[in-house]
Formats: sequence, structure tokens, C-alpha cells
Amino acid sequence: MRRNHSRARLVERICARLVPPLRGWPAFRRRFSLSVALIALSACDPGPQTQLVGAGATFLSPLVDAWIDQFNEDHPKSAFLFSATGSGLGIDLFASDAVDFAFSELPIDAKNMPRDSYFRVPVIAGCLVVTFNLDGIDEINLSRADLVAIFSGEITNWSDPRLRSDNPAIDFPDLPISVVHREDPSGSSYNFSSFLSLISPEWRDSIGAGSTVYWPLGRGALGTNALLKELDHLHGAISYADLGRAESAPSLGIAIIENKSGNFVRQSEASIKTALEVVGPFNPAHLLDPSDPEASPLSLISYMYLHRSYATEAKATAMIAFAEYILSEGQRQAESLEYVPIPESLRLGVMSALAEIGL
Amino acid sequence: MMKAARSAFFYLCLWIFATVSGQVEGDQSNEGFSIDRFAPWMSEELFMPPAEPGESVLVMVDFYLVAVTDIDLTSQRFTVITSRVIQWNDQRLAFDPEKVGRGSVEFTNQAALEVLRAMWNPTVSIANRYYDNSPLFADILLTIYHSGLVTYEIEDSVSASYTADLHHFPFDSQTLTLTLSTFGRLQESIDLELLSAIPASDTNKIVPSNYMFTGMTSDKLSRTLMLGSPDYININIKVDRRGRYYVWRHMLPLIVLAMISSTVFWMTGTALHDRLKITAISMLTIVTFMLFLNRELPRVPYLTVMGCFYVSIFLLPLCAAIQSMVVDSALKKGNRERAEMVDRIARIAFAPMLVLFFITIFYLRTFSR
Repeated sequence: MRRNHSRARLVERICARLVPPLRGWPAFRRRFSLSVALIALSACDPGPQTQLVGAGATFLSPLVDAWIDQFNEDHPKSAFLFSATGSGLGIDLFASDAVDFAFSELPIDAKNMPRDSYFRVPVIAGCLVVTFNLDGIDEINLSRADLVAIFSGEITNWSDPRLRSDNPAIDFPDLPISVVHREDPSGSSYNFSSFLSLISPEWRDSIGAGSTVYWPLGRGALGTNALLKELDHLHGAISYADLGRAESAPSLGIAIIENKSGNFVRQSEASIKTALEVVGPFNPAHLLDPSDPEASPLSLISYMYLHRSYATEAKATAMIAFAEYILSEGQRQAESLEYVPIPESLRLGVMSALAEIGL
Repeated sequence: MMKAARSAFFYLCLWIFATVSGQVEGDQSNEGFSIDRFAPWMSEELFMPPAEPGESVLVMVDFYLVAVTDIDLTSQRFTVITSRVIQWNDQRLAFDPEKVGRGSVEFTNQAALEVLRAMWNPTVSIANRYYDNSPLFADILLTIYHSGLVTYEIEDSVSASYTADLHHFPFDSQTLTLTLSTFGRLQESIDLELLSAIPASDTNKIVPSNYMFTGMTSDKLSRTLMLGSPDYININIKVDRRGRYYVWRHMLPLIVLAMISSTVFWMTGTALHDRLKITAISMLTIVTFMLFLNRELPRVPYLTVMGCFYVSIFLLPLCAAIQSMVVDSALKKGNRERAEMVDRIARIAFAPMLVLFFITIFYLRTFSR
């Protein structure tokens, strides 16, 4: 109490020196005036927030939302916003300077944006899974040939004998297979069609790979959320989505895809790490179909795109802080959502490069 | 002769009318919009829902809030600009992209409406929309993808009603609700799902300046057992009123006014006429403030926080008037010391009385709810 009292007197004396009219006033009037002044000051708005807007992949949107929520709470002077527009639209917006950052698995076309004007930072690893809606069936094995046959329309019914041969214990229903795919430009479509192209020369020659392809059959959906809703709504539907959301959907099962060694390895954090260790993060194609017997296919790396320079120092500082957060505490958050942190050596190298971001 | 001429003239007019309205055989000039020009793969069998009998069509909506342009407290209506993207699958609309030359076909505005008239569509609308006489504007984009996915994007200005809860006015929060609903040609065949409800990125600027945007939520009303009852999705836009406007423009001036009315306690006790004049003017000024404020508010049957403050501040000059009469009465009885004591007490107790009145009235109001 004594300390608070002397501190209050010190504040009074300082304010009296700063505000000459206060000097001659009795003590209670000075305190009253200072109280009113302090209340008035507290009624003023604190300075404006630095707002940064991003767009990109629906594949890791749950994780990005978690990152942003935590970062905004810890750094109230900046406000990050993210819109899961899909990888294709995300990097288009980034290349046209409409957003401050983007998340995507897709590369940026050099014609749209010179390579030296942005950073492409690997931030997280994950995997796509083939997911389906069949009552009472949570897991099936799917050979590479059968996978291509389903998505190209050769296998049209779940009771097809080819599916039974890899799953003798499962009683498949007599139900048409409804393929659902992404219609918007997406990293998930890019990676999945790339995988199909890798394992099937016929697919590579006829349909190919890309963020949007002319799927030979099936229903379309815009965004991962819409795709999962279609899957949930349609009995007998099959599609591709990220592991975390597929596992959290109670009505959907997961197909274990045969790997290059002929093994059926369940997609998990361990199998993704195995793929990363063997292939490394800079061979996305090999990551999709690694040769290790314990690795699962369809592993991928997601990247964060940042501009090399920003319009204001506040934006550049906030962006660096956010990227550093993602590469440090954000990696721990990722594990709880079924994503895999990037290797430590890579993480440290990327963090040192972030210092180059400026005005 | 005249009769024949009149008959001929009548039939001539009838023929002209029939020709113009396209009723004459062989007149194709008013055939109107032809779907074949835009979508030759479409057929006349598209009016039924794209689902088997007994199954429902999944219709998904992305809702984007561009801005809340107006919140009218008196009429309890608000106006928003929104963008809604509605998507559903209709396999009958699938086409070969190699033949058409593209993976999707787009129609805008009038053309989009004409195409929609020629096919089944879920007709997602805002159920609590308020229609006034102002012209409706909407930008519409209809896209049909080669897989049969249809997306219908509409951006328009929507007015709707809401129920204001003003118990905490001017520090209140309001929830502005838009209700999405669908009525298709067979209502029970539509399963409406909300994919996302997001506001524009700069949330500081999407509401009027006297409000602050605090978030958006959504909830789906489950269907009743009645056949044909559509799904409803409520999108709730939460805003907080920036009460500082009322603090600076109403509360502080009134407090100053009340302080002015307290100057009577320093006036001569015998100047009753002058003391009463000051308190009466204060009370009338407070009433004027109150009248101006009431014009902005709907007629609610309860006392708001601002109302509690007004009543409290009104009581102060009233008390000062009563105190002046007590002082005058004491002086007339020759009790000068008592009169001065009453004035001294009033000088000290005047400000705390405001707090006491406010707490009492606020407590009574809360207790009686």
C-alpha cells in the first residue's frame, strides 16, 4: 500500500510538471483531473491492427485455421485471415498480389509470377487417402490396378470380383460405385491425378495430371467440404481427401492403396514420415509413390507462399512472425490434426531464409 | 355501310393484336429464348429433380457476407450485401468437354435465369426477406460443369427483419439472422447443407460505423414430420453496438447538465425562484434529449440501460428542486443553520445520488424481468 501511494504521488508530480496548470492546484483536484484524463485516454482506440489475408488449399485448411486462431490470440496487433479457396485459386490470387500469402501444393507458373519475387516454404506434410461410403465397412485394400479401374469407369459396382480378390473377408454390397471428384483447381486433384498417371500409363496418356482434369465419370464438387458432404450423402461413393478429415468423418471408410512394393500399408503419421525420410521434401512426385516397403503412397508436402517484400514494415514483420510460428510451435499443433511436421534440418534452413523478407 | 365499316375495323384490330402476340399460325417472331441455342445437349425432361424417387438432392450453399449496409433500429430491419454460391449435381447436364471445347459453360444474369427456367433448380431463397419498393439488383452467374455439377452464384442486396434486444442499449449486441430455405418442385427431395459462412476480410469495415462485427454462426433447423417441409438454415451475424457515441453525445452532456443543476446548492437559500428555474430548465433539457433518443429506438416494453440512466439523471434536478424548497422552508422558519446543513449535505451527496439511483433502477429493472 505504501509503495502504491508513493508511486501515485510520483505520477502526480510528473504530470504536474508536464501540465503546468496543474501545479497550483490542490492535491485532490489534481488527482480528479488526472483520473478524468486517464479515463478519456482509455476510451481512445488502441492503434489499428495489421491485417493480412491469405488463400489456398482446402487440404490443410483445418490446420491453417488452428494456426491463425492461436497466432491472432497471441499477437493482437495483427489479424490474419485465411480463405480456403482451393490451391489453384489460392496461388492465382497470390500471383496477382490479391492476397498476402497462400498455402498450396501446386507450383506457380513462372509466366504468372517470377520465381525471385516470392518464397515457397515447405510447412507441413500430409497424405491423401481414397475414402468411400459403404455402410459397415471401415477399411478395404485397393490394388493400384483396381484404383485406376474405378476412377476410369471400368469397375462400376462394389460387388465386382476384382475388389473381392483383395478383400476376401469383406462382403461388398451390390451397389453402383459413384465417383466424386474436385471440380475446382486443387492441389488434391493435382496430386491424385499425378499418382494415377504414375501408376497407369493409360491414364497418363488419356487423362493426365493437373489441378483440373476431365474426369471420365463421376460427380463434381467445389472444395473439400463439398466433396465430403457429397460422399456422406451418397451411398457407394468414392473419392480422395486428406487423411485427417477422412478419418474424422464417421460415415466414411478408408481404402489402403497398394504401394510400389506390393504391400498394403495403412496411411498414418509413421508411413508419411517414412516416405519423407526416404525421398526428402523436394521430390514431390517420388513422395506420391515411394519405393520403400513401409511407406504409403499419396504422401505430399504443402507449401506456404510469401512475397519477398511487403508494402509496409508492419506487414513484413507480422508475416515473418507468422511464418516463424508455423515452423516452430505450429509444427506441434499439426500432429494433433493428423499432419506430419517437416524434418528438423529443413525447418531450420527455411527459418533462416525468412529473414530476407523485407519492404 | 357504317356498320360494315365498324365490323371491318374491329376485326382488323383483332388481327393486329393476334399477330403481335404471336397467336397467328406460322408467326414465329415471338418464340422467345431457346435453350437449344445455349445448351443443345439439354432436353425437355429436366424439370424433375435429379434424384431417384424417395431420394433427396444434396444442395450445398457457401455464404459470403460482403457488408451490412444498414441496421435500422426503429423498424428492426437490416440490409446486407451477400454472395451465395449454391451447388448441386445433375447428371443429366453432364457433357463431353472435348466436343463442347471447354470443361464448363457459364451464363450470366438474364441468360442464367432463362437457363434455370428450363431445368430443375432448388430455388434457395432467403425466407425472412423483406421486400420494399426499392429496385432489386442481383448479379447472377450460373456455371454448368462437364460432370453435371451446377453452381449458381448470386450477389445481391437483401433486407430482412430482426428482433432487437435492447435491454443493454447502448452497450447491446444484436443478432441479425438470415434464414435460407429451399422450395423445389418437390420439397421433400432437397437436403440443404451450409458449407461455409464467412465475412469479408476487413471485418472493421463491413458494418455501419456505429457497430462492430463480432462473428457469424449458423444453425440448421431440423425438418418437421410434415411432408414438404423444407430445410432452414439460419445464418446469424453478430454485431456489437459502439456505445461510446451515446456516452459522448448523451451521457456526458447530461452529467454536465446535472452538475449545472447542482449549482443551486451554492445559491442563496432565499432565492427559491432562481433555484427552481435552474432545476426546471435542467429537467426540460433532459426530457428533450430523451425525446430525440426515443426517435431512434423501437417502442419496447422494458427499460434499457440508457433508460435507467435517463431516469436516474432526471431524478437529480427533481431532488435539487425539492431540496431548494426544503431550504427555503427552513429559512422561513428562521432555522438558518439547518438550511445551510442541508445545502452542505446536498453538495457532497449529489454525485453519489446519481450512482445510487442508477443502481437502484437497474436492479429493479433486472429483478422485474
